[in-house]
Amino acid sequence: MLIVDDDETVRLMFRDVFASAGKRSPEFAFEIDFAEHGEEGWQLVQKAVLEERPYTVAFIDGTMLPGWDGLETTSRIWELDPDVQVVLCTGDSRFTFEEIVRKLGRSDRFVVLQKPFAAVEAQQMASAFVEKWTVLRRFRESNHSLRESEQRHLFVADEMETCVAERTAELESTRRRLEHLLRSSPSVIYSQRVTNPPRFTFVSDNFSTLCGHQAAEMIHGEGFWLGLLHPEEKAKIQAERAQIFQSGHHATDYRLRHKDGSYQWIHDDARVIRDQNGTPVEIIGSLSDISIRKGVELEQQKMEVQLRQAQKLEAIGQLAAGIAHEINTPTQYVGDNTRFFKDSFQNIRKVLKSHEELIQAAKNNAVTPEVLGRAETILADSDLEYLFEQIPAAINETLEGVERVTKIVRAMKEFSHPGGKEKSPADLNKAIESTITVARNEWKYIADMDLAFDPNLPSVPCFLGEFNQVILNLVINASHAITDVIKDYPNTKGKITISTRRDGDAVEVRVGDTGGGIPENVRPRIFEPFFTTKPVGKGTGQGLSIVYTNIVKKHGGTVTFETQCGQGTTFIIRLPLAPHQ
Amino acid sequence: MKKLIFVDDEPRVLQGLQRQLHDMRREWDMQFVDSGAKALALMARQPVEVIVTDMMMPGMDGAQLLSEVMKRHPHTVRLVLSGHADREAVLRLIGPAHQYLSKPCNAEELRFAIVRALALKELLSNEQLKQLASRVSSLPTLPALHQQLTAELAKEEPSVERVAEIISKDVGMTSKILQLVNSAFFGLAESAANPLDAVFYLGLSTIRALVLSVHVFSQFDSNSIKCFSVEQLAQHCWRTGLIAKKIAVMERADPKLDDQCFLAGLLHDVGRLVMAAGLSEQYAGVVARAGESKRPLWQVEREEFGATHAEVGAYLLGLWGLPNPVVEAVALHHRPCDSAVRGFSAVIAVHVADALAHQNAGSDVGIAGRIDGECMTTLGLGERLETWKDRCSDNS
Repeated sequence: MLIVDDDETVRLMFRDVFASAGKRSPEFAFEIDFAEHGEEGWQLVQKAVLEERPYTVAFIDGTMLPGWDGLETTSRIWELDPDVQVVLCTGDSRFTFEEIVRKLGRSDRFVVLQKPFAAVEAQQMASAFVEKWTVLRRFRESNHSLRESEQRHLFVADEMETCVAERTAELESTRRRLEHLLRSSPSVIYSQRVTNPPRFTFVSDNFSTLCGHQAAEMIHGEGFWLGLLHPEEKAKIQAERAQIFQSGHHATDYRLRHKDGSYQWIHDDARVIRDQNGTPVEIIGSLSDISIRKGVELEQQKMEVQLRQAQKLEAIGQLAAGIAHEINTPTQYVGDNTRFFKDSFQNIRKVLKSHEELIQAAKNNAVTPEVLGRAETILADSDLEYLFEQIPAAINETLEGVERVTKIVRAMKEFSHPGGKEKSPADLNKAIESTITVARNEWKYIADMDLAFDPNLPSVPCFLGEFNQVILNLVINASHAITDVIKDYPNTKGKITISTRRDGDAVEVRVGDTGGGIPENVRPRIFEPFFTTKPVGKGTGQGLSIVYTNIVKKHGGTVTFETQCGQGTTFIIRLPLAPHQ
Repeated sequence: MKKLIFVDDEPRVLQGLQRQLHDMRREWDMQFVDSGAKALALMARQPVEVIVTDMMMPGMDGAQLLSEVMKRHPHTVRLVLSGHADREAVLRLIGPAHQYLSKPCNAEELRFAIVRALALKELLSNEQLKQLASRVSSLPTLPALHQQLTAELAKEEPSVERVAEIISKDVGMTSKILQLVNSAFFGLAESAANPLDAVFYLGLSTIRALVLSVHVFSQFDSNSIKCFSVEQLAQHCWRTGLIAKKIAVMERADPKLDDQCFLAGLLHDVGRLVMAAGLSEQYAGVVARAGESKRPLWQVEREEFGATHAEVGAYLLGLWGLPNPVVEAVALHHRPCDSAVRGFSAVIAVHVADALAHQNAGSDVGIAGRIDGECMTTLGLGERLETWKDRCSDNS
């Protein structure tokens, strides 16, 4: 407690009052400092604040002289320690509470005590102020720590708020981005609940652009999607889709029915989303319009088929001149012989007529030298002996000729057999026979054909068209190889040998020639496409490459060769009897 | 008896031919052999008028055989009877073979070709000239036209019309492509006489092969003919062709006859090229003598050789299988009255056109042929002749 008063009696009075009160009860036991004037009091307060033993209550004389008066001292002290409770003691009634409030700028923390006052009054006032001070202090302390944490909270909250705002903006832009992407994406995005069958939970709006139906139809209509599948593919897609939980991913192309009834090629790419435990949560996927790509693919497939057909036609085209020759030759002698029959028949009829006349004349006993002479002349002119000698041979040759044409035409039909998409069992002996008949003109001037077919050869699953092409290429190669050898020896021919036999679970076809053999340095390359040793314009380098592709790739067979320079080459084809995988 | 030889490696074909031609046995002495070597051996022993051979045969093929025959026996008429449908082979034959017949070939066609060949040989009595013409595998082409043609064909999209136009200005090229297109290989229902049709049927790829690879259109070596200007002759021939066609058009002949008139006009002096190239010294003498004596060239030719360039040309074109009216018009272009055809024909058109072309060009009237007025009157064409003269005289 601080007592500031210029009147020593007053100071002593305060000491007595609080000394006796302190003895009575500890709540009145004050530590009391005395100051004679304001400034001294102010210095004591300053000291007390520094020593952290602040004053609780100050009794300040309102009218001190000289120096600061009571009010000034009060406001100065409050500058140092605002919590000091002040009791302004004044005997001057001019000091009203209102005026003091006006002067000090506040109304709490002080009271005005009119002099003269009773000791009890001062004691009670002091004790009330101590009480108040203590409460204030305690409140202030707790308030302080409260404010601190509050501020901390505020700061954190602030930060969080900023953060949340940023995240929200980010999310918002992400959402907008996604929305934009979804809207502008050529693909339809969807999600499905993992149920059986899975149900659509989300389908992006552009579904209607894809196939005319609304996205909502997909979400709400049970089995709606299934209903849009092409009947040919429905079962397959459904079965595949059921496997998605094993692989976690399913991508396929199928046709979806547009609202206008047409079918649209789409690509469906679906993925299973799982939680941390690996349990499937949902399926998300996309549907893309691939009608253009599919169109190109289908076009390509069509072109490939056409190309294959064209290659076959090309083979026939290359052979066409030879085939024409093979047909024209028998046609020539069939025609000539028939013309001969016509002439012969006329001659024979003439002879018979004249003989009839002769018989008639003889019957009538009227055979004159003229009748006899005429018959003799006609007989001589008709050259009957020649006719009787030639006609049987001509008939046989004519029939043979017709047979030859028939055989060629049949062989052509067999050779150009379009063949299916699947391998089918084929009689290779017959196929080889047809092919060499069709190609006869390519080898008959160059080589004799030696066939050693196994009569018990089992049927071999094969693509007949491709197999025929292989035999054709090998025979043409063989005849080229022989041509190179015999060109310097006119009137000689080589030999082409073709044999077939069963060898375990395969069939072996050997095509051998008596050509010059394959030089060692080119042996490793002969099956390469476009590799040729023939002069430009003579070989395309495709022959053996096609043989290799057709046998190895298409049939899972093998092609090997044995060759000896100066002796010839034999190509050995093996085709498996059991269909390969 | 005319000696004929047939060659084919297929004995059944030979037997068929032999049987089919059996009723000709009294006129023709026919031999049937199965290889080129045997044919040559036989021909070495006795001359043969006509040889008919297959194309594809082991050992020596038809083209090789006929080349050999052309060398050793130039007077023999060389025919091919082949079932081969390969264009390349046909082009290879275009030199050595006079005519190409396709298998299957019916009896009449074959007989006609042989009979015609034999008749042509009757037409030309001079054995030397016969050999000369028979040996000719192509006629010279003017270098300028050859170049034009090569340039046109080298274009990205050559024009068929332009190619035909260039060819139709040239005696050598026109005669050769018409030989080719009239061969049985192209199987035309009617014989063709129009260069444009010929180019169209053959196709530019064949024309290109003829020009560039087969060298059928031999470029002319101007040094080989000294007694007259080949360029001038070519000009004259072309003009004659144009006038002959113009006359035919005036006579409202059918379009086929128009073409034949042009072709016969263009080719009417082919014989002069053959003779000048083959008998250079002797023929130069003949040309000189005609010039000095101011007599028609053909008269001097007849004195010297017993035959004229008209017959030589006709013989050659006949061997090549050009249409009969064309061959006749060429043969008789100096003596139209010998034609069996009464009234207007290609013979008349070429005869008149030849004279008018010479007159228009201001050639020496002496050497150039005169119009046979008497013949025209006999045929009742006297008035028409005046009209033709009027309309065609200014033609240049």
